Amino acid sequence: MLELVYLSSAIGGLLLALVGYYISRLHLSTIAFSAAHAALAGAAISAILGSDPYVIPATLTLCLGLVLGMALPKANAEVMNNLSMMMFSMFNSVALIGIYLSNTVVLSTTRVGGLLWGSPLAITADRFIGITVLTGAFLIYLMLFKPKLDAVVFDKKLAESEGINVQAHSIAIITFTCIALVLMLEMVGGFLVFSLIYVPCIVSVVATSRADLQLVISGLFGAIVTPLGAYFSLLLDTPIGSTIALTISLLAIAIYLAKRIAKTITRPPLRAPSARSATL
Amino acid sequence: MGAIRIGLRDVYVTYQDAERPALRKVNLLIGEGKLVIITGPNGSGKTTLLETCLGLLKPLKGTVELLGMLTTSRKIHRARKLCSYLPQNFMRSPYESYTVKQIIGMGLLSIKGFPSTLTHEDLHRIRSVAEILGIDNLLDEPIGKLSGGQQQRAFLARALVREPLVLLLDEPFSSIDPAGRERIISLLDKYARERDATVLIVSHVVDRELSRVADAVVTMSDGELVSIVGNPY
Repeated sequence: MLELVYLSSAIGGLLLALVGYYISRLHLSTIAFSAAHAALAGAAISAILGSDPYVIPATLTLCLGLVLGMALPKANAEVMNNLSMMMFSMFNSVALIGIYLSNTVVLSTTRVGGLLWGSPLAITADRFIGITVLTGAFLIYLMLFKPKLDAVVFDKKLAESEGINVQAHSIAIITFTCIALVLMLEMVGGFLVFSLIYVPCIVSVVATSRADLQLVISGLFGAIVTPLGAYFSLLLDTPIGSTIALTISLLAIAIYLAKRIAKTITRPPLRAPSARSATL
Repeated sequence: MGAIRIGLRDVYVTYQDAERPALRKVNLLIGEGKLVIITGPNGSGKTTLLETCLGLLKPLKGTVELLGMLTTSRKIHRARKLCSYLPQNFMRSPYESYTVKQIIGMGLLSIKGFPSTLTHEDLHRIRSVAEILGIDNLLDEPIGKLSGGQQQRAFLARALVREPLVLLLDEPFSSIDPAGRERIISLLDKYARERDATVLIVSHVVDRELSRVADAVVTMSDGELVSIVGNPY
């Protein structure tokens, strides 16, 4: 059981960090954010209905992600961001109403606990297989298309002018993200799962200015720190989602501070102009 | 008269919520091996025309053909693989982490099939183009750390390394010093003649050097073509 939790969190952390790197670099964060909360609303609805835990969340999040992804090239970026944030509030409301309408017995179940703050009990063998298969599929996608994705990350318009199908790649990234969010939702909790998407990317950008290393660092950070958070949660008996999110955030802050201190120490001191150059 | 590479017929283009079309009743045919300059004051529709030629903007009315394919076609990306574009807004933030070599390489990788990796020959090609443009010593530098002129040369190298049939350049000399400008104009002229490539240059300044190499100078004003001097096809 514990092995399954650590393995799932490592593979899931890797997957969310990798897709998160592209979500962040392609400026799709608000779309992914609202898709994550659509999954939460879907999970709340399926908890009330007692239906399959994947079908409604996956349908809702994929539909939203695809509609927003397809509208992306035509829409004004500001309108798109505001629309995504409106969707975020709307799906949060649906999730909270769904949980409120559940009776107290339902509220105390692992299922609802998983939706809100995550639960290691949500990790089952089929979910572990789902996360592993999706991670494998994403790695194959990366092997085939990484150079084209890099071109899109660097400049969408230029990539499109060179014959790259920018919209297809954006939709592919959104789709991978939506499915990954659905699979990881009940382990980390609907409100915190998004932190596994953007924090590793922030860490990678802080750690190095080399684009080729940023994706690797982001993936490694997600794969190592997510099970570490799960370990602390079991050690301290705290909610797993909150502990993972807190661990990765604190480590990200520590890395940022360490980098700043290292920069200050290694920076050569500014020299005052000599008397000779001053007179010249 | 060679084959038509770019054909605009009665083209109108409008931006969302705009009161007036950005392009109005534009008719222009550009043939192979031609170097054409598009000029005109700010806001006359030069960049819109270039982006319409590539299909990045769709016409409201009329038809646009690029290498024999309508730009409204779903397969337009195939024609775009044979083209290169240098955008007007090329400046990157100081934090941009891709190196010059990676950026030039992206131009090559986008036209390659699988496996999509740079071969030894590709790296040699990247180095040669960078050398011609005087940026071979900057290949491993992150682009964000370079000056405007150096960045513009890197983008031009990305456009040229693809050896395109159609080269569309939007204000390609805006950050380049006069000596560099003269060299690049000669280079583009040579490229068009030797490879029968179509080169379309947007420039609001048409000096003697640029007029000397141009087959045609198209002047735009307020979204319309007001004059075509020379033969663009």
